[in-house]
Amino acid sequence: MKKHRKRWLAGGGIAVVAVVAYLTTAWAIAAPKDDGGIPSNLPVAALPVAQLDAATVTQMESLKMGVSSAAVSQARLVGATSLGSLYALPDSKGGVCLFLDDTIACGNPNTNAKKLVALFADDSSGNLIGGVITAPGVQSVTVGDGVKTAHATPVPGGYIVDASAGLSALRHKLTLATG
Amino acid sequence: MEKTKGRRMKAGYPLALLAGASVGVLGAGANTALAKQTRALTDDCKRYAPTVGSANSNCAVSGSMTNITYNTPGIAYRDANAIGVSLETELYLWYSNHYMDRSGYGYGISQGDSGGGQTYAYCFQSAGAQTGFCFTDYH
Repeated sequence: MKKHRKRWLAGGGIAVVAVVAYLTTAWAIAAPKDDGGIPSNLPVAALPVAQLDAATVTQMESLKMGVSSAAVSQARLVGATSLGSLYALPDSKGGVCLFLDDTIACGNPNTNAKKLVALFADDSSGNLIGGVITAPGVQSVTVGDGVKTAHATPVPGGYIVDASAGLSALRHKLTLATG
Repeated sequence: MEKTKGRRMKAGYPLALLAGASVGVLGAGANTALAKQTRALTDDCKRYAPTVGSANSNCAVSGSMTNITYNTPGIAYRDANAIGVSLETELYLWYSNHYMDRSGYGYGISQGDSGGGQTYAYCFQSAGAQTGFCFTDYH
């Protein structure tokens, strides 16, 4: 009897450990990354958290930049463009991402040479539409398309470029400068 | 004899626990692999820079990028296109039908679908030699 009891105990132990290990591993794989929020020193971090519709949340999470639901819940509305709203959200590397029109770009204005992260899209006429968020202390942003340059329009938390800037998205000669 | 059996049983506990943990971990891993396989049935990914990879295999693994522009080896219905690099720089993504020409500055950009029709996908990074990858989802 003792022998059988020990076998039952050993078998039960194996089963319990297997279940615990399964649940722990499954949770570790599925758990959203802790994105820690937008770096607090960036001007965009001072904006209120945005209320996003379900379609925008789905788009942000489906793009291939590893954006988690925790990051999406920290999104800020930087401004409105002719292609829709430009949002900023934290990423898993300690930087920040910009989202506009089914596209996302990520970087770290605190560590890169230009002190900014930028994202631009083309409208139906090929105009360069998008925005920039910067590190603290940046006073202006100039955007060029290889032919023309224009000052990005400052908004609370960042900068916007719209069709009125007259820049082309199709030349693939983007230049960016901060002042 | 009984004592010896007892020691054997005690010595066997860690092995039994290890076996149990292995079963659990493998089970969870298999579940995740299945989920990936299910997604792959409708949407395949392929790395096209720095080297062209196999479908659904190591799509976002970085390598040495010596060119600034890369494109897919063929056309397909594109569901996504992405670039990731180690050095932050100007980045571009576009499709050969010139739908969704995207650009930016940072360490990565990802764009959505190509708007219908079969296209090539392109990526560009302006930093020159560095490590990174480009891949596309297609069907």
